[in-house]
Amino acid sequence: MTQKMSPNKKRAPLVTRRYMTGMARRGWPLFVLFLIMFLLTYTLWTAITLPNLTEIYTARRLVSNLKAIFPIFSALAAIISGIYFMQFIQSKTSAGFFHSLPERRSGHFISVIFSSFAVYLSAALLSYILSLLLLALSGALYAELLPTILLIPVLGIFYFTVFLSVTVLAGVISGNRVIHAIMTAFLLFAAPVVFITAMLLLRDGVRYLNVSRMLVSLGFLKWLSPVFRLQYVLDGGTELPAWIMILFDAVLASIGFFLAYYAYANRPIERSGNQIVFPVLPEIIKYIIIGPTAVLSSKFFALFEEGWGLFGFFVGLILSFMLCNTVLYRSAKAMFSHIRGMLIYSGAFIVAVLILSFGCFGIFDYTVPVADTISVNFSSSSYGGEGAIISNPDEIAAVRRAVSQMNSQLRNRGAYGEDVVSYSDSAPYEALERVERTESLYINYMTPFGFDLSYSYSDLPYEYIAPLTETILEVNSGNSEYFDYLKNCTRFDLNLEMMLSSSSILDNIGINTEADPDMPVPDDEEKTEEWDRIEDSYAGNIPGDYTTDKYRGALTKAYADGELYCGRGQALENDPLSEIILTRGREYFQHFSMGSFNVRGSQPDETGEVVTYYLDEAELPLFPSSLSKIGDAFDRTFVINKELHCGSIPFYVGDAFDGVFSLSEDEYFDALAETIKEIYVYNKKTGTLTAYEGNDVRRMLPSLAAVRAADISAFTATDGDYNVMVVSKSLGDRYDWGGHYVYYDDSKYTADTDDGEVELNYIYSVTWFLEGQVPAFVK
Amino acid sequence: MINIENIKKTFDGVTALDGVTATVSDGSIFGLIGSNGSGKSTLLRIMSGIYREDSGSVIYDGEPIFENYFMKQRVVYLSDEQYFLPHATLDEMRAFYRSAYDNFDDAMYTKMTDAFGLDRTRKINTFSKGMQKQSSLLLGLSVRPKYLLCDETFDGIDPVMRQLVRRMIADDVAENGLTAVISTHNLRELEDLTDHICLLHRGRILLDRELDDMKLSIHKVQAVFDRDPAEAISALDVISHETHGKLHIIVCRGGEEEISAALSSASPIYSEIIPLTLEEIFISEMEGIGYDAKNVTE
Repeated sequence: MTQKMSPNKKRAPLVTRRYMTGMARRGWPLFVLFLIMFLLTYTLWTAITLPNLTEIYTARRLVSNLKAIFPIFSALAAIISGIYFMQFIQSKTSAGFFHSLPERRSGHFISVIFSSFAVYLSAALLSYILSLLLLALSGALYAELLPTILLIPVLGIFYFTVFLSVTVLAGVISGNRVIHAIMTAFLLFAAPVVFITAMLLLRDGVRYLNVSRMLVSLGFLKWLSPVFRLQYVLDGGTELPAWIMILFDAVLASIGFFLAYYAYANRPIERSGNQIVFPVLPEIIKYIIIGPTAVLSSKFFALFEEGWGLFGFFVGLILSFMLCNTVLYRSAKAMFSHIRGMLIYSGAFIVAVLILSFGCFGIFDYTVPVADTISVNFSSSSYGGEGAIISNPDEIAAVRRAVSQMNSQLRNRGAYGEDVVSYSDSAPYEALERVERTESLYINYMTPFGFDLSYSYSDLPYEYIAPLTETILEVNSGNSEYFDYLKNCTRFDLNLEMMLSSSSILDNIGINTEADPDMPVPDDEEKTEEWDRIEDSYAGNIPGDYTTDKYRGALTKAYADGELYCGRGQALENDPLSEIILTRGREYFQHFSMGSFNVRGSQPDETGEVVTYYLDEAELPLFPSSLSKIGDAFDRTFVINKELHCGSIPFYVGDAFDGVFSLSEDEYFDALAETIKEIYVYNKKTGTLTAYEGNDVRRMLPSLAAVRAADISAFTATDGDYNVMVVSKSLGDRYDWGGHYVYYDDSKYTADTDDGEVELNYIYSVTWFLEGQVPAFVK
Repeated sequence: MINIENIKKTFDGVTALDGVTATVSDGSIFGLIGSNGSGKSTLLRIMSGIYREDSGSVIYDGEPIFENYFMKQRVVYLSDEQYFLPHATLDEMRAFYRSAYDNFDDAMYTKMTDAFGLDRTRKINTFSKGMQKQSSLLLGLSVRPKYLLCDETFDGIDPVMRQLVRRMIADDVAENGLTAVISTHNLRELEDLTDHICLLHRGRILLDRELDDMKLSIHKVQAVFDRDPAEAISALDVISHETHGKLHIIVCRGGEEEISAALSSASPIYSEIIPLTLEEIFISEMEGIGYDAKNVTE
């Protein structure tokens, strides 16, 4: 510009009062609209509620509702008035006319702001004062509520200002009224939409990041739009004090007004009537819109079929590009304009999508965020209360370490949360085991920046989450109910868990006559009482119920997949695993058997062919708490107790004899070697089953222990990696019998039959539940 | 006085004004003519402070117009597309003008509405196009501006009212020293009113002279020669030359005496030197640069 500065310009008013008040007066239709709006939503509501305001709590509820309504309608009024008063710059003719008037641009701008406020305040405050009068006249203007009542118009005016700044800024860059409204929405929601899009991509890319939860909790969204900040303040959000949100909005509103003023001062009036008056903006707006649209379209198509996602991406990209061009350049002919820019953008965007979709190449997968507060909740349990909330810095550090440890396990496993629960054809047993003892949890990190990062882990094995739960117990955060639940998820309690066979074992509770000959054999009634006692003790034990349901679900699936058949290969109800009970103290038992014993008699029939008779059946318990409680059906089977005793190897050996603790180690091994026929070790990780000869027990046991030398619980089911079964020498040779593995006993058994007393051979059939796991060594 | 100095303006890469320089004297009526898209409206909008020029300056009495509150009080721009507040009556528009301009003259407003016979309480959007133009004009004149910028203001007004408008403007110029810049395609109308003509074409000034000078410096010659007049004609500053049999019709620049002297060397049997109307001058000048109906239709 080569114009010299006018000497008069310095003295020229920013705005002339006549012009400003004239514009405000022209807003009378808006005043009527706002008055109706506020009277209906505010004063009328107050009037209707008056008869119920005899108690302060009802008045408090009313005031609370009014406090929420006023800012919302004030924000709405700001948008309406901004669009209304700025329409003069939204057409070439009117913009030309108004800018030919003796008024500086500052005058036009200030007049818009002034008129908006004048119209809003006159309508809103009138209805507010009327409501106040109604409350006062009816005696419901309680002194206790006065501060809130006085705060209402302050909040209303504040949010009117905030939303007006957005609307005015949108108006300055827009060239017509419709686009003005669209641009207002764009400014309010573009940043959240872009953020949500990025989150959707990160959801696929960053393992365990719980995007849905983060979006629902507002989290970062509240920093991106005054709409969400308003919601946060009205909802009484607790992550940050409301005044921080208000201060943030105040700063943004100031910046918004300043930007709007600056843009208006430089607004090319000749472009009024175009959709967007600043030539560079349509392209920016277009590319902000088409990226998220492409991603959302991709997600939408992927709902039908995963492979359609890519198709949806390009459909969204191209259609939104064409639509944006048509709208922003107001011509269908412009549909394919700037195609080269679009191609470059598409390339760059696809790269960004890939980076985000792959979780920025995994760098955030196992990151533990910095946090002021961490909350941990278990979601898959029936425990629905508030979880642990840790805010002490030292405790946070401990929890973060525990999460790192958990993440480290997950990283080593290389598994996604969902992979942990997936059924693998090659290792159904493993899957079954995990489903049985897993837990889902949410960890929420409240970052110092006032937004939360949520992570969710689905069905993690207990051993993964145990470090975390133990840490939480140590730091003593949360409530007692939560602790009770939490204790079930620790290593300590895991080690107390027993894997028992099901009802058939319990049928034999207390029948160890050999261990204690004087012990009375319980009759059926006594067994029933015992059974009832156990059930009563744990009636309503939620974890148990939960486990049962989950376990049964897993079983059902395994059956359906044909991976599993029960001891006698029959119906589900015969399955020994189908019964889950709760026993002992606080712990619950997961009844799990590696296999079952069928005890059958055999006898030549009339034709001389040997026929077998069903005599009894029992399950092979892996880790019963005490052999003394297992009946004589198991007296030829050795089992390893999983209970730990400070590093010793507490085997119960032979014939339910529990005198092992009195033996020296040598005596113990000798005893083992004499009685053990075979030891089967099933590695659940690899799915391999290894048999060790009993004679090698001295070599074998340390070898077994060395599998995880640091933790003898490697022998236990709690570790989740190994199951061990020890077979007595007294069993006969092993035969493959229709998928079962059968041992003949040399001993004879006399049984009463319809044909009289007959002598039978024992046949013990060991049934592996999982056909797929039939070990190679048996063949 | 308005000094327009080397104004340049571009819209989306299209040059609307390319170095326009002109001076509008106080108390004159300045006619702005030109082909369609020549930049007349753009120049007027820059002169009224609506558009900001890319370069150059528009100075009114030593002050720029853009964002100049005081100077704008003295300038009224009447657009080719009138704008009135939605559903406003004339009286409401008066109130609006009063809120914007310090010198709004109610008496003049009343006098002019009466003269035009317009209903002051009727919504302007129910007026005819011509009545809306009258409304716009009377509101503008009621401001008592020192500078009046009219963009095709007379188009659409019936001849009687046009006569009235012309008289009102002329009276204001004579009595109050109004300076008017009038852009129109109605050259006949302008010829009676204007003192100075500026011809724009493709963003540049093609002609910028006092109307009288212009008329005296360009003539149409109709002559019949009994011998080849080529030598005589070549001595003229010919803008266009047509022959119909022996009749030569020549539009050329120069004074009457100058042309007459040049022609005499060819001893014409018959010759007549006629001053051109503004419209003829416009057409001749435009033909001179190849903008004629023949070229357009071809």
